[in-house]
Amino acid sequence: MTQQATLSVHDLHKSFGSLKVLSGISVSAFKGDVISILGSSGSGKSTLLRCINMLEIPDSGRIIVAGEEILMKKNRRGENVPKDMKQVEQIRSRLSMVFQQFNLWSHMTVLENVIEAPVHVLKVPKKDAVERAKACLEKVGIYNKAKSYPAHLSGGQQQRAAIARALAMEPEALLFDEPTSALDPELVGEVLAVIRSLAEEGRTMLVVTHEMAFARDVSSRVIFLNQGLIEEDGHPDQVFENPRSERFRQFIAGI
Amino acid sequence: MNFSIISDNLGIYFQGLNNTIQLVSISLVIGLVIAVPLSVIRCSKNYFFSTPVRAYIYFFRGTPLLVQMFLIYYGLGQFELLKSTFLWNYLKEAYFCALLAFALNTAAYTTEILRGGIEGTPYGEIEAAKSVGMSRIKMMIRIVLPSAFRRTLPAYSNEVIFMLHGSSLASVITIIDITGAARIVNSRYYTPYEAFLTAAVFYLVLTFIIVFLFKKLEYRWYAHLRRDHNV
Ligand SMILES: Nc1ncnc2c1ncn2[C@@H]1O[C@H](COP(=O)(O)OP(=O)(O)OP(=O)(O)O)[C@@H](O)[C@H]1O
Ligand SMILES: [Mg+2]
Repeated sequence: MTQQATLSVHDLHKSFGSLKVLSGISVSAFKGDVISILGSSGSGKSTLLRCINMLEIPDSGRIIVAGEEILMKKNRRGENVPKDMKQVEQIRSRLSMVFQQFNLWSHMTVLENVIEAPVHVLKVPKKDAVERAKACLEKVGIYNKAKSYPAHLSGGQQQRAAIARALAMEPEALLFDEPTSALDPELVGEVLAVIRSLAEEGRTMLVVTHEMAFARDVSSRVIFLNQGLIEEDGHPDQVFENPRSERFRQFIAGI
Repeated sequence: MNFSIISDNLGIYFQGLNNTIQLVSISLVIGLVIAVPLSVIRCSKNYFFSTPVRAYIYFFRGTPLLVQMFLIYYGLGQFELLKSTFLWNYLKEAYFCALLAFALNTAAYTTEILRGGIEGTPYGEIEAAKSVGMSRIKMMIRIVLPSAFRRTLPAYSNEVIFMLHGSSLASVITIIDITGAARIVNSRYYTPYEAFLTAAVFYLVLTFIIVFLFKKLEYRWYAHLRRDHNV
């Protein structure tokens, strides 16, 4: 029997109006995989990640999280829509997303941000959630900022708080959408170090990134999106040393 | 200025103060309780639900408060059917009619204020709420509304002050609020200046207290924006 994928996507299609963004993407992540998703701007990297947790509704294709497929149906206009929002919510709670713009809840302190979903979605008792949150904040190195509001933190601290919020859900997989792109250059390192430490812990992660060094050193696999399709897919050593696609050769040369 | 007239009639002014505070605070509470769910419905993309709310807001913002109060106080008596129900026990009372008009009026304005706050929620915060698996209702209660309340606090404090001043219209339908007290004093002694200046002082003090309370609330609720809060 083969090992079950933590996350798998089969033949995903997505258009915005007449713009075809994803034209049949299939990818599976197994436990402990760190998959870097590369591609030029507008190639659909964010769209792929957002389809996985249904922030965008794909036009077709299947998404399976730890063996459970997200059920879809056609609505009256013939569009693909989730069959059961409850199921989508339940699956979302098992996949944590970290956004480029952090998206912390601005009216809550860092600690409140981190315990919010464990308490109100997973129904973890508040006391346990606080313990869990403290451990997560410790891990990302901002335990001393627990009582601060997001607006009082640097970008790097905000992103680490967002990562702590994601970890506190104890997700099956983490989805990162350009977690360092909104940061000042001198803050990029601290966030990448945290993500690297998560990789070393064996967490399953999909990371959209423009940081080539990170993709090379940290990920177990690199995929390159171009014109709605996966053009490269493999171990970083192999992909970076011997790219098969001309487009990817230009892409890494251009960075 | 004849101050003895005022001091001799302070009792009636305090009775008026009591009525004003009661009318305004009860209608504000009712108005807020109605406005929260209405503002959520008002933001719904489903026209079947949002249209009646729009119509309600349009009517109460589109007509003067005095006209609304007259419609309730004098107008409802036209309906014989209504007169035979227990509701009439309340609707024949001027006080209750004023309260109803004020509550419905402030609910309409507050709904509109809250709608602005709800629609101003940063989209990223909504996506973050979705991405952790919150349902729509949970997201409303935990993320959208608390953040909307904070954003709309200054606008709402204005609404409270407008409501206080608008409540002086109650005196037109025989209610002895602060303005009603002033009208009684004026009709007894023919001293409009003293009578209404005293009323003005009462309103000024109440407004001052309202502004002060909202400042305190802002201080608490805006901790996330204050620069000095750095820990
Ligand atoms: N909600 C939307 N409505 C319409 N078009 C969209 C929407 N979201 C994305 N697009 C378009 O889809 C294409 C892919 O967008 P996407 O954000 O997935 O690219 P990306 O690879 O993440 O790019 P970047 O590196 O700039 O973040 C772009 O052309 C974008 O303009
Ligand atoms: Mg993107």
